[in-house]
Amino acid sequence: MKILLIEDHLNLASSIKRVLLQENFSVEHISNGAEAEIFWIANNENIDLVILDIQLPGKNGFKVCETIRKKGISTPVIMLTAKSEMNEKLAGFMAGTDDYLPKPFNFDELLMRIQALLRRSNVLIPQKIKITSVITFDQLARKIEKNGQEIRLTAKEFEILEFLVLNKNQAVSQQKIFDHCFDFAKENWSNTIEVHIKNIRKKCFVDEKEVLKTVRGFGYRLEI
Amino acid sequence: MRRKCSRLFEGLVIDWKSNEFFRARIKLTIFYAIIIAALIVLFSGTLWFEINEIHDNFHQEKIIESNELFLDEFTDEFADKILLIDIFVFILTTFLSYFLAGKNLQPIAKKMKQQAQFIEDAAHEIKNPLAAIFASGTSILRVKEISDKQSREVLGEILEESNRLISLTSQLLQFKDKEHVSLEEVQVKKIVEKIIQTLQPLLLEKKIILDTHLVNFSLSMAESDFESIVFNLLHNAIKFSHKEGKIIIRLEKEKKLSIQDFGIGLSEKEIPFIFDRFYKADKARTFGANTGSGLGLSIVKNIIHFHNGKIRVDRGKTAGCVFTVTFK
Repeated sequence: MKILLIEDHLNLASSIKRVLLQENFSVEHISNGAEAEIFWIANNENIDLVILDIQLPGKNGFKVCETIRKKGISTPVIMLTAKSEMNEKLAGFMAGTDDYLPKPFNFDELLMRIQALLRRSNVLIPQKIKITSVITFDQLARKIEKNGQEIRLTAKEFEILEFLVLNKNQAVSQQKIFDHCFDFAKENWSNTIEVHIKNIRKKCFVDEKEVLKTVRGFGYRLEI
Repeated sequence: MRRKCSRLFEGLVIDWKSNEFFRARIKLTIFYAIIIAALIVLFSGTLWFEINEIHDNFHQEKIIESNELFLDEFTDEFADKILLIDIFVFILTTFLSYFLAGKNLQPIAKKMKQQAQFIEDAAHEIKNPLAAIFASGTSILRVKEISDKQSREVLGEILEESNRLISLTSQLLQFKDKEHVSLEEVQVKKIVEKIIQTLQPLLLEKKIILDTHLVNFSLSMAESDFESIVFNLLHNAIKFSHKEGKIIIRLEKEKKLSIQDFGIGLSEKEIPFIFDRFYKADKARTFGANTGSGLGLSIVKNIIHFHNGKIRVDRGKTAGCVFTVTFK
């Protein structure tokens, strides 16, 4: 689950990131409206939700949302703002937002609203999935459990595993895993993916080596 | 005696300039005086006119016996006329009272509207740092195993936002009405040098090259007001300068102060707004990570206009901008 956070207030953005990462979301943070718009358009297939502040340098939140919607991009959007008057809310919804949360807000509420929006787009699996007889994957709670005990994965590991679960029983190429789970600007990724897969195997599938298979020269497949 | 008179006069001039309720009161007093005078003239004029009629009639040849009749007739007529005039005056003064009552309340209504707007703006400005503090606190409490590094990070965030709030509230208090202004003879060169000293740490941090051309002149205004002007303008210039940038400060004997920087500058469309309360220039939001309250230039403008001065901003030829203040 990749969330794009567009917020120019850096301390607030840090806190939001902190909470989202804790919940195993992958977060991309951009503080300039114009830059964010370009990024969003270029990567919209891999962005699952956008948290959008209104007062931004470069281009304000309303205009960014309008432009995105005009291009037919339907990423779910939650608008954040310090203003909570009716005409601001109206302007937000007219610009194409799906939800509107005034600041200061409670993180539980933010997370609930995120879940609600994700439920409506087709990226959620409604119930817990049994990957093996003892391992369950709960996408809503963002947890993976073995025999009822939570296995603690890093945010990246969780994201990769989630992607494999969503594409279960299909071979997924390394390129696709990269596009969905990583930020372009970063390091040599094929090595990184291998390392993450190794860690996932070590943490989850020690006894069940058959579950997460390597497809030589291509990628990986999760067999459920 | 003469000094007492001139002091009194000075006091009145200050009151006139600074206290808008005093101004409204004087204007209304003049209005009332004119209206009352008009009413007096109307009433007295009518009376005088009627008395003159009796006078004229008595000068005409009239039979003595009918004088008594005439007086009775006249008294009745006169009573009717008075009644008519009274009714007319009453209606007129009712309308005038409505008009005057409106004028009375106008400055109050205007003041209340201004205050309501100010409160709304201020509350909005306070919301942002508060939301950040709240978010910082609640976010760290959700982390299962808090590391030392994370704790320090969060505490830093909270401290930064708290500082912002402290400086915002102290600047808000500067907006209280200036009802009692102490006029002093301010030596500007000394003050500019003092402010440069105060801002030394910031100047050093950014390795700013300061170029000063200071010619002393004197101004009559409160010293703290002139300090505010210099401080806010210089602080802005530093904030918007690049590392090792140059700032030029000029004091000219034509009672001019100019501060020029060569930093990120302003765009054409921003210039009309920069003196507005709480306005923060677009690039400032990413450059200084949202520092400052946006009140600085607004305070500066208030002080300058109060003293009948002028302030203008021009974009620099290559980069940055220059603020020029002309005092009276």
